[in-house]
Amino acid sequence: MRRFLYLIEKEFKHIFRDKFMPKLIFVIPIIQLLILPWAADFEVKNINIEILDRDMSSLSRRLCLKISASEYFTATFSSGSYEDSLWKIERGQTDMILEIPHGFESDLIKHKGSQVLLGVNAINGLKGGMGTSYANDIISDFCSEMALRNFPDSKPFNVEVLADYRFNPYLNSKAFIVPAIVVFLFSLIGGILAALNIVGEKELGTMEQMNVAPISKTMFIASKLLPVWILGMLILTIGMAIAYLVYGLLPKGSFLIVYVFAAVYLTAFTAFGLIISNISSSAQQAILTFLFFILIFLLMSGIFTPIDSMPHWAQNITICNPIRYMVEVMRSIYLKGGTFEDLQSQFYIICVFTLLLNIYAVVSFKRNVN
Amino acid sequence: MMTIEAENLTKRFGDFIAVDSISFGVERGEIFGFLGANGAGKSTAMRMLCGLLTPTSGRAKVAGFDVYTQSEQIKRNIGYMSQKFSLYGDLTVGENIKFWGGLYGLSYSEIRARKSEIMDVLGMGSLENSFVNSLPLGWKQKLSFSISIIHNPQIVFLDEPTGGVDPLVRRKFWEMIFDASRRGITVFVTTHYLDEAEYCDRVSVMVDGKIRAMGSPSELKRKFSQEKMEGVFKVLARTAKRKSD
Repeated sequence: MRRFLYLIEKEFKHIFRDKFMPKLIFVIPIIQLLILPWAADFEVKNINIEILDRDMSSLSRRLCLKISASEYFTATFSSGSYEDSLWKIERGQTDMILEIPHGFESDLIKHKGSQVLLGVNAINGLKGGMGTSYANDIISDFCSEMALRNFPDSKPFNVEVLADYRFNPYLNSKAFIVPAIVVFLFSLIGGILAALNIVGEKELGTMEQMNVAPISKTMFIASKLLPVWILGMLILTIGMAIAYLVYGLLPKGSFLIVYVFAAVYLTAFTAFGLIISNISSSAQQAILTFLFFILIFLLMSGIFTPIDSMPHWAQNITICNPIRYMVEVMRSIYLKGGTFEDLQSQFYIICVFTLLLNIYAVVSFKRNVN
Repeated sequence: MMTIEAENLTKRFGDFIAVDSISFGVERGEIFGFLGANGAGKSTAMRMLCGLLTPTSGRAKVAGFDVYTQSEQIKRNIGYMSQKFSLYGDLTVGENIKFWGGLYGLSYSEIRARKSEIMDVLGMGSLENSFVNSLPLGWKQKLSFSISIIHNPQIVFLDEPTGGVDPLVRRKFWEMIFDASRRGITVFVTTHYLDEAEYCDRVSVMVDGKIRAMGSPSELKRKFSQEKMEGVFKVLARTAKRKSD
């Protein structure tokens, strides 16, 4: 045990005496958490809608009012041509156009029906889609209201579709993306530090000296893993602090569950880094190998794109991605207040990863050089 | 009493026989020189004795322990210093001593005692808190050697310990080796400086994985009727078929 303490002490000295490491460990996560969530913004509040009211009737004005009262839309009014408004979309000054035709009110009253035109900028597909669906909701809501008021006796044939955006009512992308980025960051830093670790000793030539020292493989690997693990947990904590201070996000579930999962998960991911370190003969090789895996893990983790919308074969690949499970766990705890019971299956999967990767980290560590 | 015994020790890598059935014994306190051209199989043989490589066949005992089954006990009883510099450059002199001492299971007071002893012997008292990276190579090598025997091992293996060091430092280094030998530590050293071979009690010369000659330097010189070990080595090395790397 005393030997283990000497090893740990040495590892920490290596990390903090390095000119670059402390910066990597603390500055990068902070900067990334401040920048990435804004870049990956799926926010659908404040959709700019330009309303062209050609009818100027009380009914059309009521519809306009209903739309501008909605918190999803910022409405502006114009009496210009549809083409003018289209030009505004092209210049990014507005996202949607709603044209209410002349005779809207009389059509509604006489024919119990009318048409409006919705022009949508679909370059940002998500924003366009959400905007259309919100506008549809509001308009159909308006129709049933009017029908009820004007023809109380007749039952309007009206199927109402209610969209209920649960857990994240405004589809606030920060709430969705920030917990996932926290997971990515502490995986990234933990993984890189581990990947550079053993190979660093190989390059220095101290590995050979370590190999003839009377310490077991397991103790050696553990001494490499523990400091990285502690730093990873620290980054998780910094990440959650930023999530709260900058984005006002706190887990709906308990911190304890976050840490329990992170503790097990990080053991798996640092072991993964150590395996790369074991099989690499230079730091360059280790970093490139790590980069190869982390990019695939990142893109197939569901952080930015939903796994459900991937093709079936790609979904199968995500099964082998440890980050995916931790992202699920983190989102569940942050957004839904997930409890341990809810996340049991993820817990067992992460445990399996931890077990297998750690066994392989010890096995793949070869003392016999040549 | 023999501290190292090897009998028909062999190591194959695929078709290549790196070490071909070597047999020898080293006595306690002896300085045993292990000579050979590059690629002759010296390092491979040494690695087998340190428990870093499992032999393909043959038998060997180091400090009384079997190389096949007791490599952990062997590690506890040997010191090792390789041609590559093997201290941590980002730790200070004192921290390196403390770390390696601790790793070999020395108590805190033992570490302190050994530390001041090493600083005295090397005359580096004022450098305890300087980073090892900032030391000149000669001092690093001497420090490296002192640390490799910090736990008073039965045997110390030195793999070309004086590579790249100037003659004056080499002379000092050998004084440290003599000193260790006087304290009863067996020294097993590979080198290609042939003048250093003269300092050994006994030497063996490896050619193409086999030991071609073994004995004290004076015996060998007589046998091959040469004036210096260099001559002996040249006569033997000329018979090599294997290309050096």
